Amino acid sequence: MAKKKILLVDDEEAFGRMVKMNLEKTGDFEVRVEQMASRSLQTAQEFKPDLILMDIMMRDLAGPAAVQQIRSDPRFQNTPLVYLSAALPKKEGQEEKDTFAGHPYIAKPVTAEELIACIEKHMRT
Amino acid sequence: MDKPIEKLRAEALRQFHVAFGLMTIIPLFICVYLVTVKFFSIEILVGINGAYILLGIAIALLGLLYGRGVIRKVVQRLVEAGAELDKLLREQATLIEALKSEISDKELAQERLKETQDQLVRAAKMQSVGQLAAGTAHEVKNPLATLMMGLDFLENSIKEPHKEIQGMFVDMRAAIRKADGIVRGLLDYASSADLKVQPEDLNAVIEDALLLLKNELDKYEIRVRRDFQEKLPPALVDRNRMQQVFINLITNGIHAMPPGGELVLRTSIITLDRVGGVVGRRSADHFAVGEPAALVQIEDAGRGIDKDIMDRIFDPFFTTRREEGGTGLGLSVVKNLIDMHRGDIRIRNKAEGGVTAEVLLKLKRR
Repeated sequence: MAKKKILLVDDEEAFGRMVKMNLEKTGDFEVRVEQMASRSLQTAQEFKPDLILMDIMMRDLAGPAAVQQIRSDPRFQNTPLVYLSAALPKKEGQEEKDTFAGHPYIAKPVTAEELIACIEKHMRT
Repeated sequence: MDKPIEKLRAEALRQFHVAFGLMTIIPLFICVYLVTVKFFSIEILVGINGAYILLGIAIALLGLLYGRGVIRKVVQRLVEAGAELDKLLREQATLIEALKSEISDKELAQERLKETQDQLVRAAKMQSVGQLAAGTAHEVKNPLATLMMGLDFLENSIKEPHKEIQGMFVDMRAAIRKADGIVRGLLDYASSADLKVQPEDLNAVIEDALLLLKNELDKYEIRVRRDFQEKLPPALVDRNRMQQVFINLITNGIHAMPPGGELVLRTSIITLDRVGGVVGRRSADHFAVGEPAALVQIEDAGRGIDKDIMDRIFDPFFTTRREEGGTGLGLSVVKNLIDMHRGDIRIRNKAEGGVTAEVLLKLKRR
C-alpha cells in the first residue's frame, strides 16, 4: 500500500523532526517538513501531499496566509488540511465541528497516537 | 420685615403728633402771655389768634392728610420692598438648590467617569496581560509538544520495556499534560479582557455544558436533575465563557461525589433586597438593592468542603485533587470570569451534606 504523504508546515525545527520520526516509524506515512511558510506552495507542488498539517504562528508568514497561497493552486483546492498549533484552545469535550479559519484543527501538545487518528479521520473525508 | 416698618410708622406718627402739638400749644401760650402783658388788645388778639388757630388747624389738617398719604406711600413702598426682597431671597434659595443639584450631578458624572477610566485602565492592563499570557502560552506549548512527540517516539522504539520504564513514560506523559493544563488555566485567567456580553438563555448554556460533559457524566454514572425555571429571562453573559464556568462547576460536582451520585441544577430569578456582598447602593456594587438577578445553583451530594479550607477555595493553584492531576486553577478562573461579568459566586456546604455553588448574573444593564 502506498504511503500517505503528509506535508507539515511548522517553523519549530525540533517539533517537525519529532513528528516526522513518529509518523514515519509506523511505516504508513512519508513526511516532508517545511519550516518556511512562505515556501509552502512550492514545497506542496514538489511533494504533492495527501494531507497538509499547518501551524499558525510562524516567523515569516502566518498559517492562514500560507493556506490561501496553497489553495490558489487548483491542484490543492481539495487537499485535506488540518491546523496544528499551540495557539488554539484545547477545550474539554472538544466538539467534532470545531474549526479555525474554515479548517479543522488539533491543538498542541498532542500525542503521536492522537495526531495519527486525526490524520486518518480527515483523509477519509 | 414688618416690625421695623411698624416702628418707623409709629415713630413718624409720634413725631407728627409732637409737631402738631407744639405748633398749636406754643403759639397759644405766647398769645396768652402777650394778652397778659397787654401787647395786643383782646379783640385783635382774638382775631389774630383765631385766624392763626384756624390757619394752624388748616395747615395741621392738610399736613395730616398729606403726611398720612406720604407715610402710607412710604410704608407701602417699604412693604413692597420687603416683598421684593423676600422674592429675591426665595429665588436665591431656588438658585442655590439648582446649583447644589448641578454640583451633585457633576460629582456623580465625575464618579462615573472615573469608574469608566478605571475600567478602561483595567481592561488595557488585562489586555496586555492577556497578550503576554497568550504569547507565553504559545511559547511553552511548543516545547511541550516536542516533548510529547519525543516521548511517543521513545516509547515506540523500546520493544519490550521494563515495568519501570513503562511507568516512567506514563508519569512523563501525565506531567506534560499537567503543564499544558496549567498553561491553559493561566491563559483562561488572563484573557478575560475580551468579554463579549449578550443576552443569553442560561438554561440553554447549561444544557450545552452538560452535553460537552456527557462522557464524564456517563463515566461516573452521575444522575442529573434539572430544576430550571421555564422561560427564564435572558442574562447578560459571554456565552462561551459562561459555558466554561458551568463546565468547571459541574466537573467539580462530579468529582466531589462517589459514582452514581446525583447532581442538581437549578435556575431561577431572585430579587436582591438586602445590602451585603455585591449588593449595595454605590456605583461600584455589582447589583443595586431591589435588582432582580438570575440565580444558577449547582448542587452535589459529596462530602462538602472542610471549614478550614473554605476561605481558600478560590485561590489560584489551590486544589484538593493534586494526586488526580488537579491544577487548582478552575475556581480562580471561574471567580475571575464571574467578576468580569459583574456577577457573584458563593460556594457553601448544604445542611443535608454536599456543596452548592450559587452563581448570580445580571439580567439588565444598570
